[in-house]
Amino acid sequence: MATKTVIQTIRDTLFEEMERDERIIILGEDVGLAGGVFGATKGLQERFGEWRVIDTPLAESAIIGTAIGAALNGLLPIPEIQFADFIHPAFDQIVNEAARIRYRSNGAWNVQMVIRCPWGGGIHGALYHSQSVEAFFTHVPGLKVVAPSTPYDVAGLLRSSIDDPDPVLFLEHKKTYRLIKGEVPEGSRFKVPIGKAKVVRQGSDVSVFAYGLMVHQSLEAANLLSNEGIEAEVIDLRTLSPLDKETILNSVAKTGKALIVHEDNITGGFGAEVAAIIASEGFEYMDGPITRLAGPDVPAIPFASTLEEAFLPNTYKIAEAIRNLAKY
Amino acid sequence: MPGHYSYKPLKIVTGSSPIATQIPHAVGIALASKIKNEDVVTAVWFGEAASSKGDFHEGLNFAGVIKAPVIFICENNHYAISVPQNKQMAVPNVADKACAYGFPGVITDGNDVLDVYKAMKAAVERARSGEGPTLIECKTYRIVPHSSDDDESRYRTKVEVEEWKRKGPIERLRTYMQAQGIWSEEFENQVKSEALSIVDDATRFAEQASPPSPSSLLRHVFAEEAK
Repeated sequence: MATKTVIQTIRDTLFEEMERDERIIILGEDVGLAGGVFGATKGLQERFGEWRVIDTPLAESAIIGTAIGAALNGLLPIPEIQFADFIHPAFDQIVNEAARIRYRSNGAWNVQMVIRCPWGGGIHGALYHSQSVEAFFTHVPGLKVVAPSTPYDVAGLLRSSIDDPDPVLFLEHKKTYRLIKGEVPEGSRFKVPIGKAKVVRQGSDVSVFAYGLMVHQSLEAANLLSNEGIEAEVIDLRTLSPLDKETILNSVAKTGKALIVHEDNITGGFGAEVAAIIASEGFEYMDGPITRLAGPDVPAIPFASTLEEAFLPNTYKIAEAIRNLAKY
Repeated sequence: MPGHYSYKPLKIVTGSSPIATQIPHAVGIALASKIKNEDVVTAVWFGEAASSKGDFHEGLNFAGVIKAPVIFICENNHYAISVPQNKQMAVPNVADKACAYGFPGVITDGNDVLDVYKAMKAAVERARSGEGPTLIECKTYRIVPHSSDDDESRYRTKVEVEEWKRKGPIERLRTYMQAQGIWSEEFENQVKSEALSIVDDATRFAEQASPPSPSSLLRHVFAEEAK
């Protein structure tokens, strides 16, 4: 066991996977010589050369489009989009191409690739370095969306994503990169399955569903409330698509209360999907309003600290929402 | 939709409907060939309208940088459905755009089989020798409407269409072969009947195939369903 940050874990897992499988290539902006703006690919070009760790022009659609082509020709690309905020020019390639190629070719072709992408707020990144993009992509059949929150899950899910024969959008919350440390087994190629949520704190009063940084904030809130006699169960969804309905429904069957927390603005956000599943398949269990705590419907997270703080859910806002639900 | 056909044994990749998205794919396929040290050249086709798209620029730009073994073939039929070339670009030739990417842009008479062959042969040799991509523009024409629902009289004259019909590549190749003494009526009939029987067989096969069962709707979304 080694204690590592999220960013170290990503870098080390990529290194090990590239040692193991020579089909793997990495391509993106600043991934080679610079080792990535966050250091996720540090030292990889030095070790694997500039044809396996490729500095691309600043062109997201080409990064994903060429990765698709390389996958169609037998390589296993792990393209990086430097910030989720800049994934939009590649939307067509991800949605209309990568996610549809298996279906439109009746299973003849598939795109095995992992799109790595830092997302999320809390680092004063302002409008274009803080965005949440999961709702756009969880709507797309043919694409899997993973959003781990701990070093262990990052390593395990990255390996599962690499092994998956279909395209996976691998969302890395950028504030967890250096903030979150954890134990990662060494010398074992352990995996965390795609499509399985994890109960990270047991509780009987309220179920809290979160992913990314919000898992850690929700855990803090739950621990605070324990002193008040409220026991919240916290579930790290880990994979958003396909979603682990079973774990969600098992939890609300126990608590009868559901709080869904995410940074993305509330309308049409991923929380709506979780809420709809609970409403339609867990109706009989519910003993309080299915509640979403999410960003407000403003175009993006502003730069000023006061506004960023006002936008994002945090430990205290989550605790307050749990308190309100626990009253029912 | 039949437009998305592919054939893996011949390495014909499935195409979509959004314009130019296949161009970066071709660059990626060629990139993979280069990384795997395969002696393979990738060719990708598109119309002149695709050269207005971001994926055209992004794909050709990247291909130039990595000297990908890829040939970009533009079938310039002078119309994006109804919009003529002079409303699509301010340069007279799509091939002119290659100068921004650091590789040759070649203009060919797209209705002259041998002219296209010559350009392709040079481009293949260039790609194989590691020199990188070529953009080949084939000037041609669409002699029928864009679709069964397209009223072409709104944007082009009958005279123009008739003029291009006279430049048909098959007739021109026949004239050339006749002049070279390598054509015969028997040869033409044989080629025609072979082609017709291939098309007839395929048509029969398609017409006799039963429509897909509704239960197949959910297949091939992910690998799991394909088992």
